[in-house]
Formats: sequence, structure tokens, C-alpha cells
Amino acid sequence: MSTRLLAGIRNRFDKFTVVRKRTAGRRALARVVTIAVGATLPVLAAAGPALALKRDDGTAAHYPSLGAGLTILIFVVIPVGVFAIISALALLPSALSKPRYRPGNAWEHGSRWFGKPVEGETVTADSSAAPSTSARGGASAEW
Amino acid sequence: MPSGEPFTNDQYRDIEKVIAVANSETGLSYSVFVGDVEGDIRDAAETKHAAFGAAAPETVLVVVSPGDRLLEIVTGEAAARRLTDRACALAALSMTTSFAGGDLPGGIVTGVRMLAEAAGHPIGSY
Repeated sequence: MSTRLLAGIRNRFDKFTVVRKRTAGRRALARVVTIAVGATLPVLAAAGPALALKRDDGTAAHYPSLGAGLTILIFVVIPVGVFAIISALALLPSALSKPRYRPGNAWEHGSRWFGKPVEGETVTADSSAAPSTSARGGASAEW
Repeated sequence: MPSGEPFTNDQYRDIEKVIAVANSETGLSYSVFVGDVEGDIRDAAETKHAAFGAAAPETVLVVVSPGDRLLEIVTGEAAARRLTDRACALAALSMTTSFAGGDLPGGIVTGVRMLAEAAGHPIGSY
């Protein structure tokens, strides 16, 4: 078994050496043929539709026309509608949120007093008109 | 900006809660006024502070005028002993930093919390 295998390998090696012994001219010819076939075959294959018996320019002649209305609906109204819906969804959160304070804007919310003095503590109007003496300290700041 | 409630209900609750916590922790009375004031803000704040009457000495009043971008903190006599002007200035700085970023309720909550921490606990509470 092994002898036959070795013989086979040797036989192939001999053939290989024979190939290598071919002249440079034959090898050049083989290259030219290979390149020529390789370059033309794809072109011919791609040009196959040109050989079609019935010409087809891409229009679907056997389908009825969409008509102007349906064409506008599909190619204008629907894309614009999708655009509008996505835009509305993107703007929805900020549209729903309450108007918040932004520095520099005028204050139009009225006033709110947390921990307002209860009625019993409130002093009479004449003393509030006079300069207060209850304040002892504090701080000022601006932004 | 349309008129109406300047804060959401959650923000109202947060501010009221932080004031209640500050009151119970310090024994002082914290109050926050948000809105336009007429004339000089210090005068207006002191007038509002005087409106607390008998409770005024223990009252810490924070007046925020978003339209004028002014902040005033007024401490009463008893409150000023525990809350130095320096601590008030620090809280005011922190508040105005939040206000400048547009966060009105956040600045108020932070400021009241800082004022409460600066005042500490009332003597004899522990």
C-alpha cells in the first residue's frame, strides 16, 4: 500500500517536473489566454439581458398607473406625515412640561410664601410700614 | 412665560418638607418668599420679617425675587445668634448658583438645608 502511494507521488512529481520543463513561450501563451477569457467572460455574462428577445425598459406595463392622487399620497403625503409624527413625538416632552424659570425672564407667577406668618402673629399695618427692627442679620446675593 | 403656578406639586412638597424638617431640627422658624418685591429688597425683606411679630426673633426669612435676580436672607435676633451672617452668605451663594442655572426649587431646598445645618440643633435637645 505504501509503495503504491510513494509511486503515485513520484509519478506526479515527474509530471510536475515535465510542466516546469515547458518553454517560457507556452507559459506566456497560457497567461494571455487566461487573462483574455477572464476579462471578457464577465462582460459577456453581464450583457446577457441585452440578448433578450423581448425588450424590457423597467416599466411595469402590465400594471395600471398609480395616478396622480395615489402617487402624491405615497411619495409626498405619507413621508411628510411620518416626518410630522416623529417631529411631534420629539417635541412632546418639552411641550408638556410646565414653563420653568429661566434666568433673565420676568417673574409672572405672582408670589408664594412658604411658612407665611399666621394671622395671630401678624402685627398691625402701621408697624409694618415703619422700618423693621426685628432683623438682626442675614445676607444678600444676586445672580 | 404664562402666569400660573411657578412650581410643580412635587416641588412645592419638597420645599414645604425641607422647611418643616429645618424647623423641627433647629427649633427656629424658616420661611421662604418667592416673588416680586417692591422697592429695595432688603427693606421689603425686613418688612416681611417684621410681619412675624412675636415669632420674628426666631425666624429666618429667605426672600427670592426671580424677576430682579435678587436674594435676601433675614435673621431675627435669636436666629442670628445661631446663624452667622457668614453662614447665611454661604447658603445664599449656593442658592444663587442653582438659580443662575434655572433651578429655582432646587436652590431653595439646598439653601434651606444649608441654613438648617449651619444653625444646628437647639441647646438642650440632646
